[in-house]
Amino acid sequence: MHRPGRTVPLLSILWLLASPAHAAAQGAQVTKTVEAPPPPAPEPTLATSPRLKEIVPADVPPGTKFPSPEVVVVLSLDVSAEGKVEKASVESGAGEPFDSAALSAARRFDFEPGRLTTGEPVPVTVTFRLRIQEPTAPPPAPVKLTGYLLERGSRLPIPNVPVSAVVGQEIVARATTDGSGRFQIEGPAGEFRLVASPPDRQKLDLLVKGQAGEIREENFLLEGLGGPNETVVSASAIQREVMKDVLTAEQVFTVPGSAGDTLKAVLNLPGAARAPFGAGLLVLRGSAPGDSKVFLESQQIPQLYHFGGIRSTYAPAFLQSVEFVPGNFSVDYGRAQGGIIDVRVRDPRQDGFHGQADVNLYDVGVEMEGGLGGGWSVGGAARRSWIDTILPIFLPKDSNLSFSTAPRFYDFQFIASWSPDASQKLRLIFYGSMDRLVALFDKPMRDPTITGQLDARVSFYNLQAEYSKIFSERLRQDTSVVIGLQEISTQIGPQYFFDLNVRRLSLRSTWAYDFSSQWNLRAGIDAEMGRAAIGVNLPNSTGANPLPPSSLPQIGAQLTTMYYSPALFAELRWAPIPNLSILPGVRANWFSDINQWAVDPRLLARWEVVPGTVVRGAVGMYQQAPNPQKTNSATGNPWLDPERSLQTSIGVGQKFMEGISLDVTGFYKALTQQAIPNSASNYNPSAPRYTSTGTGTIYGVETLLKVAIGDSFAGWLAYSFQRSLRTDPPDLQRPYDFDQPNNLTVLGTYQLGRGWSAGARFRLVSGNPYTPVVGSVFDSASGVFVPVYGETNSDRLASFWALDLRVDKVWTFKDWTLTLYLDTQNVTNRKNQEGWTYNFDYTEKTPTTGLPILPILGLKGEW
Amino acid sequence: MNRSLAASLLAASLLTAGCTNDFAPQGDLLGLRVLALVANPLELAPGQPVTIQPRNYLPPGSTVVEQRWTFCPISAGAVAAYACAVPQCEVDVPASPDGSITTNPTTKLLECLKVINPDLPPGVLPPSVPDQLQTVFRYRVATDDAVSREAVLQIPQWTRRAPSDPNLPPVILGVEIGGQPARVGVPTPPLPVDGLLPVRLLIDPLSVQTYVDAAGVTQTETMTGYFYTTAGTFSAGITTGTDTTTDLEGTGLLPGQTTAEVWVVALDLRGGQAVAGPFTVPIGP
Repeated sequence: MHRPGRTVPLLSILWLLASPAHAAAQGAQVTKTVEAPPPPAPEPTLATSPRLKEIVPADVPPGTKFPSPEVVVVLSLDVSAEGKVEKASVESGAGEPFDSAALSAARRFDFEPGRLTTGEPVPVTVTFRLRIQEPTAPPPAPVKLTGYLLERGSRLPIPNVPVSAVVGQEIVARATTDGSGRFQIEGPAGEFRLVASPPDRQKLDLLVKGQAGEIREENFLLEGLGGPNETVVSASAIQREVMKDVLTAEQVFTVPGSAGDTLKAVLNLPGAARAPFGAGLLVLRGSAPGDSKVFLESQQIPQLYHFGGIRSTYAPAFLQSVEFVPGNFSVDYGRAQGGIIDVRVRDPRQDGFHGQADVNLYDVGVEMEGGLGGGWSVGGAARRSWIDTILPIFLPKDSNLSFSTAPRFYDFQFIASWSPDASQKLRLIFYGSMDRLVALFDKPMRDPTITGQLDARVSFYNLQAEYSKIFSERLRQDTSVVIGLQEISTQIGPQYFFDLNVRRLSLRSTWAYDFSSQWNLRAGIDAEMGRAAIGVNLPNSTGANPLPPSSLPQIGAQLTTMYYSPALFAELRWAPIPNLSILPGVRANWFSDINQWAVDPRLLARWEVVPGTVVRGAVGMYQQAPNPQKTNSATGNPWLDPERSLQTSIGVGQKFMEGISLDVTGFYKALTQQAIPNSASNYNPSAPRYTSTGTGTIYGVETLLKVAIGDSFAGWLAYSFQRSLRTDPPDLQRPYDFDQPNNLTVLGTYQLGRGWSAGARFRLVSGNPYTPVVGSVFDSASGVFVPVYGETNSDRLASFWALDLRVDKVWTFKDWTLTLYLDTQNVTNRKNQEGWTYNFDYTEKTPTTGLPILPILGLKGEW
Repeated sequence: MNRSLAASLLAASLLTAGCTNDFAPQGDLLGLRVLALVANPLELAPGQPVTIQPRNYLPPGSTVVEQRWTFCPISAGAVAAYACAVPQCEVDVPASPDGSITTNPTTKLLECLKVINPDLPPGVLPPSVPDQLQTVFRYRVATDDAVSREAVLQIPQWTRRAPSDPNLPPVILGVEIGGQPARVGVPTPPLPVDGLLPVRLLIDPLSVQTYVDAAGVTQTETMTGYFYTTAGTFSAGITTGTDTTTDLEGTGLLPGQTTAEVWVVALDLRGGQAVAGPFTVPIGP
């Protein structure tokens, strides 16, 4: 027994019997006092013995040595008619201090007095055997441990992690970290193990030695294990796409062969075609690059890459994840008949100030962030390229090209986030990009019009405001507004230029209401409008194959136009049974470029047949306005129809065991109303330059096998079989430029320990189709030979394969980490053919090869 | 707008600038070559005849065995390798012994329209015919060693009126080689082996015209010089401007080569062409 308030162990008294009544009945002996009875009256006798009401333990001094585990003191107790012990004496003692303790306790006994047969209470003397047991040692006071789980180096809190105190195999206490990574746990004095297994980080298994009652506070710094160990995860609670993959920021940074680029990492997923020369062309499920869109938090990014594909314009500093949907995307998105990529941005950290710096062969970037209190956090990042420093080193000494401003780029992101409570958040994102290049061609290139100065300035600035609020458990909304400015100014030689100035306003607001667990409605508006000023004077090529610019008529225009593209969308989610979701939706979009509405119905169903097995299917219409060049009255045809893609897909996902899963998706797309050049316009000025008569067929199967073996290895195998075919009447069906029937990517990263990791990527892809040159004719007016092409895309380049390797070494210090990485592309220096280079009259040709071995060495510090 | 095209041009320019290959430059005359098709006039009023004179380089020992001309009143443009938009309207034009032709394209246009629409009254131009057509003359030359070359020249045909400001050919004021005026048949200063010999092209600035293009934008002609040689190579085979100089490099010379023949062709990139040469350049020590 434990008596609160005592600082020394108390004696436990075990009575002879379990209850006072029994003790009285069995443990007490009654001594009868007999007096001379009055003669005739019957003499009353003792009917009931005294019964002990309450046990009073015998206290022996702390540290008393017991001769045996139990000692017995036999007492004689005189119990009064009131039940009090009037006298106590030892009949058979155990010695001191046991006898005194027993007497002291006995004097405080309270009895139900003994009674005669008449019911009268009477004094009674009883013999009482008091057993005093040696007390077992009480448990020592626990060790009270207050700890913080933090990521080593970044000191990022690791929330929501169960922490256990373990003795032997038994968990003796549990706790969970809060938002700041804090936990409190009480472990037994002496030794116990503190165990925690946070995802993505090193496990905690630490022996804690503490004295009884000790109060401790400690930080536990755990190594991050890097993203690839997560492989690809699905993000949204309600899956709105047949196939949607998400790469985390860590994965983006460490995917071998992608040099940490925001967008290029996701192009390793099935459904994305390989772009030549390592460029970042977005060819998703066989659609043209312009048919797919990239968004930043659901708002379109106007320019994806610096200098046509070197680096993404949105640096990964504040990247949370990248969502990749190659087709059959939800009604939230439109104006695209291909696929979408949505870049998700994380908030700046609230816990103190942090930052990072990254220097590599391409660029140098810095980032700072921190919390201001009151729910505010702010951050900023900027990056500048090194290319202007490095490129001249690689230019041949006799090059025709010299730079007065070598190619360089900048980009930046500033974020302010305010989250006063869990139900609402306001965020401002200001980001932009600037590219600049001024080059001088000392003499004309092979074409006389490509000479002199080449001046290119490309920039954009977007201010994006977002507000989200959860009104109740059923109703929530997300709204964002973007004010954007985009400028392009390009001058090529004395003749050609292209100037574009776009001022853009975009609004998106999505509302969701849960009627029940079975019914959910999402609806919203997605509006774009703007003013575009265009000045252009360029060779007017309407063909699919390259031609000498001087052989083409020039086309010029100076115009300013307003454009509007409001859209409304709604999607219903119906879950008739717990594991089945059916999502019908519709999107209506107005295109001012062609003065037409486009209504896109879409339907998706998702059924978890058994745990770990999911079947998904979708069908939907996707429409977009042809690009402005084709719809502009000066250069195109404003009476075109929206380009249309009817997309269907069906897929199954299977989880085999922890860390291993397989997704297989088949798809079919029927393209109609595609805007194609009208050959009649080459000789008839009154003929429209484009018509909506093009069609196409795209089909294929995508496979994604994800493997994560513990914390040590993660990777995936992505294989796509697809055919992408086009028909431009009156021509026959032909393969599309990026028709890649087979596309295999295998990549993985292995954690070697001690901060080392190594990764590899292997790609094997069908060569792109190309149109062979079958002859040439001398254009005497321009002095150049004009190629005569054969059937469009009737020939195919050799297959591409390349092996890329990446090695990372992370040094983790108390408050910061340093990462050295080497991302080497094409380590075998294979000369993959990307096309042909012809001599001046096209009678000789040599393969144009892609990037040689390209080591990207970088150093990244985070604190 | 045409962002992809602008980007493609930019990328192509940069890529090409950084690339090197072992192809012989256009200015090296290693075989039969059509250097120019010199037309007069360069734009045709309704009913106006045209004369076109081919200027070829014929390697020593070769003999021309065929010179064939065809005419089409409607060119499909460079996209179609200047094919005839109405194939049945492409007709042969007989060449004179020197290879030149003289013909009346308006007549052939009307014949073409009659082919398309037999009900059309003779000599009547339907309203649907644009005010200007790009006609195309196709020239094919072959030598006895089975080498052939093909060249085209598009000539604007005005269908309803004479051009108000017709294009005129560039005028070559002179060619200087080694600092001296070059004359056909007169040897120039020698080309040093592994050395340089400057070649200067002077075009009359007054022959540079302005014009309004199809989009209504006023443009200025870009005078362009093409330099050709049978020995050595030009450091820049193409120049732009009215007073330009390039170097003939005495490299890559073949054993036994004692002279180089040099041609210079001036273009206004609208069809106007002028040829100077051949100039005889001795190859010196």
